[in-house]
Amino acid sequence: MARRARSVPKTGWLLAGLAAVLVLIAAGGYFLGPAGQPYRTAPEFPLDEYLAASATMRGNTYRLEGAVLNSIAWSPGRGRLISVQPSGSGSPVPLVLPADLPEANVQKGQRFHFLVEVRENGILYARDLTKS
Amino acid sequence: MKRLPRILAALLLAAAPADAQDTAGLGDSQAATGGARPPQMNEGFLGRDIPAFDPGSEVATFDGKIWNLNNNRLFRARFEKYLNAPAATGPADVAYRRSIDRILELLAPGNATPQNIDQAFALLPEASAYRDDANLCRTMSDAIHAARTSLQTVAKLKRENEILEKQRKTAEWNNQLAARNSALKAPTGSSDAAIAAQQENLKFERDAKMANTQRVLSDISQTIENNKLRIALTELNTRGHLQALIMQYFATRRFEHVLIANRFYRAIYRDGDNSIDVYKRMVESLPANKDAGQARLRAEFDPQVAASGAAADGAGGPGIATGAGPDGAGVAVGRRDGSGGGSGGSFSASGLKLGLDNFSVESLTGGAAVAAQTVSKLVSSLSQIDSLANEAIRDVNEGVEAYKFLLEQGELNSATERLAETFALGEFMPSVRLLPREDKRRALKFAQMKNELLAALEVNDLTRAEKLVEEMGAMAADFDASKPLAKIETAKTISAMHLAKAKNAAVSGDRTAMEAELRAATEIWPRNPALAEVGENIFRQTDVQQQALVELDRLMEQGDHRAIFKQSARFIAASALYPDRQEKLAGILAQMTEIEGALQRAREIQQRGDAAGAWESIQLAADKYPQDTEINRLRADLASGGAATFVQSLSKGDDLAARGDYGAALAWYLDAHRQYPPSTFAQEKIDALAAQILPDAAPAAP
Repeated sequence: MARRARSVPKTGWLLAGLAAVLVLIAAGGYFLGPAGQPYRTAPEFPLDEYLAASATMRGNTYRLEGAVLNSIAWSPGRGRLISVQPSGSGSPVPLVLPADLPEANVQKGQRFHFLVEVRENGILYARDLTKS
Repeated sequence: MKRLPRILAALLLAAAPADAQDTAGLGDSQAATGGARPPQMNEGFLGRDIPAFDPGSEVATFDGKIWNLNNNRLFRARFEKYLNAPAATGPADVAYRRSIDRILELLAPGNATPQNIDQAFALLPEASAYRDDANLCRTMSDAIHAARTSLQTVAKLKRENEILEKQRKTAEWNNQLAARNSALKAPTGSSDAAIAAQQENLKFERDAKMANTQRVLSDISQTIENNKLRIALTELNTRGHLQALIMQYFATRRFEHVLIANRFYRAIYRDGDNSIDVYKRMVESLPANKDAGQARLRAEFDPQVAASGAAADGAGGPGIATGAGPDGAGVAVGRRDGSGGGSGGSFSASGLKLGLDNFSVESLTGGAAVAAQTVSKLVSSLSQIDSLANEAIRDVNEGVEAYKFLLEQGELNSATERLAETFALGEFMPSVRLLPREDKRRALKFAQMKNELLAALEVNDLTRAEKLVEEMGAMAADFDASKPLAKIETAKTISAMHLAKAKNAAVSGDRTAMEAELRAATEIWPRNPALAEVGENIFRQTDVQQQALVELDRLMEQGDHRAIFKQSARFIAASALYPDRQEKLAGILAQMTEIEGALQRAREIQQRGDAAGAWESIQLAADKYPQDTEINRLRADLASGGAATFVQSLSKGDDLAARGDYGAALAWYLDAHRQYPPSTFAQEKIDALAAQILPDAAPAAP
């Protein structure tokens, strides 16, 4: 008769623990989610619009994820001009990584999240980047 | 008869003087001698006033002019007419021959009795009725009648003078009696004055008695002198007329008429005077102007006596005076007749008027006048004319016999020449006229061919001349073809040389020399078959060259270098003589060679499947030669074909870069580079924009 008394508390605990896990997961998703997809407050970079008339987008800031294709030019004082192939697109875009950018050690083929700004002559400048 | 050839030449000249100006004749001489001065043109020891005949060359010269007896248009035509004419064997011809023969027989030496002379005289009108006589016997009959009438007049005048002489003696006796009966008586007066007056009265009385007898004596003497003058003038008139007639017959080669007239002359004038002084004076007075043109002789033989007073005795010779009138020249003949014996008379008689009209053109008559003067210098009596006529008749008969013999031998060339000579001399002689047409026809064909040969050589129709020479050589065994063949071959060679020079001149572009050489070749052999061919080739070549040059200039102006390149061989040949065009053409062809190389390379790249690479290759050429159609066509094919997206990316990048949209432009260039990584075009544009974006940057590998 003793064995039956012992089994009831065990099930309760299990259910409670499951619920706690679910709560933890939900809370973690809520708090930890933005750290996996940075700059989610900035709009996604509109590639097609940019290719049609980049200068009209001057002053805008976008988030851009893509792989580094090539380093086109480098200036010690001004930074580096690279070509980036945005995710989901075949057309590369040029991007200037200013010299004061904290993480400027980019390699061909690396994927990054960029916070970009369209400046004079429609040229893209990276304001921040995060390796993805 | 050494003078015969010279005299005959004069006669021939008189027969055809109009041809002396015939340039064809002179041209033939030049053709025959190659333009060298013929020996006949040289001054002989007799000068040029006396005609000369060279039997070797059959050329007669007179007064600086040359006649080739066998190469004379007028003579040739006349000779051919004779060769075509039938023999003079018709009834009229036979009757005429019989009349002439009968007249000659009646007047022959030994037969010329008064009865025979009258009979011959009666036959003259009968002979003149025939066509062949050309009324010559009628003229002769009239002249003889006039001579006979004049002799009767002379006899009558002489009889009158005999009577007048008797009357004059009577008058002289009466005059002497009148003078004797009226002798002055001794003065009977006492004073000197009375005696003087008496003497004066007696003198008046005697003069009155003698006046009548003296007047009668003077009238008789005057009449006698006048009759003597009329006798002399009448004889002069008739003798001169007959002599001129005889010389005219001789000049026109009527030798039988010469004999007949000569025998009548001797029968009429039996004084033995055969001199032709009257005729000589007459023809020498002719104002024949050798440098003048045709002259028409107009002669009037109407003597008019103008005598005055008695003349002193003497044996004066004849005198002559000439003068020119408004319509011709006149001559007045004066004569001092010393044959009258004691009391000679002088007179002047005019009336032998010889007029020459139309001095501007040389004429047959003018030539005859000149010939008459010439003949008169060579003969001095009618006996000489008679013997010359007989010699000519013999020569003509021998010529006819020689012709017949040569014809039998088949030597047509010599036969024809002999017959031509014989015809020229004795055209009206019976032996010539009686030659059968069949015999003449054999020579006719050869003569016609010879004339054709002369004409062909004259106009340098060498093809025709060569053919004629061959035919004549086959026809006549004695035909010497060496002379015409030498001329033909020489002319052909020279013509060929000129044609060769014309070709060279055409090749070297010397148009003036080419035309001159072609002209020279044409003049030498106008119908040269090669002339047309060569000329056509030259002009066609020249025409093609000119057309090519015009087209080259047009294409250069249009900048259509590809069209020039396609016809490069034609344009290179055409512009070979034009250095400026040649230089431009060389530059164009070098460009086109470069373009063709670019096209070739682009096509090869395209064939490897590298459309973007082919496009870049051809675009480089297009930047340099934007007007070349082949480049543009290939570039368009590539831009719309395999390299479409690549070219489109570049093009969009260019458009955006032009607007200052460097970001997007660089993105498109990067896209183009992505499509075709070896692209130099995309790389250059990327580098250019990178330099714009990072001015102090250097290309860097990522």
